[in-house]
Amino acid sequence: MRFPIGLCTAVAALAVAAPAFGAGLTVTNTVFAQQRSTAADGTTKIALTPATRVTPGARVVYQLAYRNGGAQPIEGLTLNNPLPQELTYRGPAQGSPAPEVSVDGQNYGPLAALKVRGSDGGWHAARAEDVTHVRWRIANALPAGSTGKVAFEAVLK
Amino acid sequence: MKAVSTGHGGSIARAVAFGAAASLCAAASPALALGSAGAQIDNVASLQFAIEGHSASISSNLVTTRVGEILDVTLRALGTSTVEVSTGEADRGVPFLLTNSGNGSEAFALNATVGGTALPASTLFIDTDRNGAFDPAIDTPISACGCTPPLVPGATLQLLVIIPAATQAGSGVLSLQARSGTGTGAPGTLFAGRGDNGADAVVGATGAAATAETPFTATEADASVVKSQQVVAPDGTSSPVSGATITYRLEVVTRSNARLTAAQLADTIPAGTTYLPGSLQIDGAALSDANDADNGRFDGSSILVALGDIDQPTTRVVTFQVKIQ
Repeated sequence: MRFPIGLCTAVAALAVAAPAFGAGLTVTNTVFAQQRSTAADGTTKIALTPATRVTPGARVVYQLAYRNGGAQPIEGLTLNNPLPQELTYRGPAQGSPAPEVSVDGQNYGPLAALKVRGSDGGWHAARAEDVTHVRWRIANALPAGSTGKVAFEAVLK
Repeated sequence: MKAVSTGHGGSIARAVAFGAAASLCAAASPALALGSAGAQIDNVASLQFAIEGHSASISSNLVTTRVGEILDVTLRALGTSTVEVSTGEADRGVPFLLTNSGNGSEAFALNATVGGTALPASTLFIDTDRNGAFDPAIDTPISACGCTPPLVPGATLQLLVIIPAATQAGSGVLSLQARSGTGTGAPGTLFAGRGDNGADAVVGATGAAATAETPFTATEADASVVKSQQVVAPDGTSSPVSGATITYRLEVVTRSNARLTAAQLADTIPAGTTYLPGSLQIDGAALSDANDADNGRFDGSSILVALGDIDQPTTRVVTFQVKIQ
């Protein structure tokens, strides 16, 4: 009996994706609600509190905190976060590097390089509300024991 | 729906940190309504990486957030001009449009006032056929609590407030207020756990309450007709269901200075009902349906009663019956 070639390819791909190498890397996803308050001196204070309930119009911050708990350095780390459809992307959270964004989940870049087709059939510059995915690619290898954080801000529709 | 086309409209060769960005194109999402109250927002990220040249991927933990309910309502008077009524008119409905502008399912409490005096819930109706006029055989009474049925987000309800027949001649203002059943207050007021699916409810920009007003002028009529009705359903209740009989009572009152010549009373049988043959009466005496010697007849669509010349204060009572189809 001859093995179909396609099946052989699939088996090989599965072997590569086996989770053995993931053991050292951990990631914690947390959502915060952004609460603005005006201080006595007139300045605006922004506080982040864990969000379990939010209402339309609320600003929320999703934070991904990662840690290399293994013995080897980790290379080419990419964090990809599809945006829940109830949210509108606003931008990187304070203190976080800016992510690359996507309006289709396949092609990523800075928002200024993206285009969307409007209701008039023409192509227009993409806006923050068109973003469907955010992605961070960490340039440098992550040494054993090191940590990092990325975060983005969104508004509940 | 997203149409994706890459490399369209010329490329933007701007260098980015990890490679060149092509011009990326996709169809814009249509504007979405508010997130639904009680809905759950799940977010999970995926991570790809390599250790010693072997690639791998993991997923983050799932974080879940529940969408709270925004309480908002808008109400407006339909029709812009002053409503003109005759004193004694008992079935003049003034239309209003209520909109649930929040993001959750919500019932609203209604309060109507005329000249500052509260009207009972029995003067409030849902204008079921949305024709802006009151028809007791079609329009649905608001329940005794004075509250609407629950409305889904964005839903509208057309309402009628009946001007009381006892309204005196003169000008007045009919006012209707709608308040969210969950609660009202300053925008941002929180009702913990009282929203849809146990989510928090928060008062929106409208304060979860709205008021609309319609001015009216009531004038004394030389002659007035007060129409009232009594419904008897096959099961003995007063529900306006199919097969129920409606007895209409038309009370004609003329005043001291009235001089009417060859007065005739006409009333069209309401749509969706059938005239009950032989049911026409004046002051308790039967009138035949045929166009004959007596003063009453049914012409196939209306009852017609000749009242003759009237030159002194008079009260005549005409009754007839219809069956709801």
